[in-house]
Amino acid sequence: MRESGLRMALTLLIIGAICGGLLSMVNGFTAPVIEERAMTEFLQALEGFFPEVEDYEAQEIGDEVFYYCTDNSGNFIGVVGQVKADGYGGKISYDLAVNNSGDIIGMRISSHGETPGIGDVITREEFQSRVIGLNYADPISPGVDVDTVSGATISTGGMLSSIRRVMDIIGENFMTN
Amino acid sequence: MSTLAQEFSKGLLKENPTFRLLLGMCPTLAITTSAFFGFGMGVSVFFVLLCSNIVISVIRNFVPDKVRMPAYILVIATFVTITDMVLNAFVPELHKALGIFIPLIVVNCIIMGRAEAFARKNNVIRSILDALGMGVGVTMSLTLVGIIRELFGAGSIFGYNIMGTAFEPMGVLATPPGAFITLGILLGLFNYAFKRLGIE
Amino acid sequence: MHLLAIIFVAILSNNIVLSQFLGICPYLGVTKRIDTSVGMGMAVIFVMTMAAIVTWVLDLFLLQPFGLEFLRTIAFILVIAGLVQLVEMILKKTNPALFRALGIYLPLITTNCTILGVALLNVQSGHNIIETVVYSIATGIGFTLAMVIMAGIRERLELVNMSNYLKGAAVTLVSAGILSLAFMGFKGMVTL
Repeated sequence: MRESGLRMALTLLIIGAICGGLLSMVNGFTAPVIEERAMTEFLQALEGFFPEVEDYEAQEIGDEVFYYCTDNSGNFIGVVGQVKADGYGGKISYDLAVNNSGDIIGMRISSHGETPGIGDVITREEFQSRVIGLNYADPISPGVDVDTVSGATISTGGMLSSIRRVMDIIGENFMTN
Repeated sequence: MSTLAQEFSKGLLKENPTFRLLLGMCPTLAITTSAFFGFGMGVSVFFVLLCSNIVISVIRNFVPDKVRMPAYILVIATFVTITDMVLNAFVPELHKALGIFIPLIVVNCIIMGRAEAFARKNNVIRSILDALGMGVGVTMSLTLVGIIRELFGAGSIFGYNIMGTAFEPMGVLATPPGAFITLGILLGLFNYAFKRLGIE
Repeated sequence: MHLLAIIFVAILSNNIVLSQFLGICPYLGVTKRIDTSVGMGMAVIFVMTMAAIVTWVLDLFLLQPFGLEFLRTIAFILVIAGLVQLVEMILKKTNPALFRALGIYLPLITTNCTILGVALLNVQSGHNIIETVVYSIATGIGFTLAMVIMAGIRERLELVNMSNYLKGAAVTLVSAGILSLAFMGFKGMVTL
């Protein structure tokens, strides 16, 4: 075992090389699948909001992404924002869809850490129906034109203030007329 | 032959990694909000355990003793990353729910524990049987915790409603405190059951 | 203000043990006495911060430029294993008493999922280097806090007359559940 130092290094090197090779092989195989799936998922959500969508253009504002959507004759039909709100259990990621006259037509919570049975009301009809139909010119202010859900004030209040903020961004950047 | 059968069966009850050896408790608590997630995590651990046990048993005579730890870590981390990629590509809902606990399988004590305590001292056949037994043991335990938390926390099992509409779900079981308390009580019950069955 | 929020969230409202379920093994194993749990906590704070900095640099300057993000897990765990070895050697020379007290748990820091977990969380949530350091130290403090509280509870539980089946891990988990319930009260107070 004179050459043990060399042997140790060599063994590790060989194992490392085999592992690295194996991983890049698997990665080459799965990475395109993952990318394609994320794309299809997003397109499905987009078509759920705007069935007539033909093309879209991504625009980064702050650290959030907004998709400017057009139909087959190139007319502006609406905006979808991939945005975040502060909840009770951390960030809530959601998509907010606004049509070309500035009305909220849909929302989809993509991930959240809210308490099951309490704060997760934000994923349900009970809360979402309070928001859908509101316009960017509306106050969207708790107690004024929309209510928080009692028992889940932090989750729903956080969503409402985030929606207000997102609507300001959309109003400023996309609602030119 | 009987000893080969024992290599398999010990992981199921007598040396059940979760309830007897208290290994891999982090995912047992974190992702068992539903039976499906528990099962998915169990299968992931099973896969990594089986692959790493086989490889480590095969290379056990080539790897110098002093560098065996980094070598094992390399092997285990490779299979964990493969699991991560495959889940992300083909079972995205599970991948999202398990989140950071997939890469953390690397540091799951069950896997390193079996490598160190078993696979490096035994031949491939025995190591496979050991991994199969331990893997099934983990999967059963995680699924069991998942079933209990889903049944009482959401009224369903594997997404199928069991309790009917009149049942008021105990939301607390789906939260972190619920996880700790469920597992604590289960451990107590298992201790009692093992004592009565005469398994020490 | 933002950094203060990170500290609050990491120590209290999103405590690594009681709400994120990382580091349960040492939480059950090393919380029999307050002094050992303090020692373990200090070791974790130290290793965690070092590991977070090294892995953050590694990720930014090596993995990301070459598109090797898929090697994160494997690269991070190797770095952490090396670091732990180093800390072990240093501790053995400078503080043999603590080294003996921590016993087999020091090598187990490698397989302590808080270290790898925090390293991955830092990179995944896009922390910059200052946020990384602050978050890691705060998470380590949160870990130590949870450990010390539990050790205090367990020292008293020793004197309690209870069923043999519940002694040890079972009652520790139930106590952790109640503790976790208390920590849930911090949620929503500060948001990042």
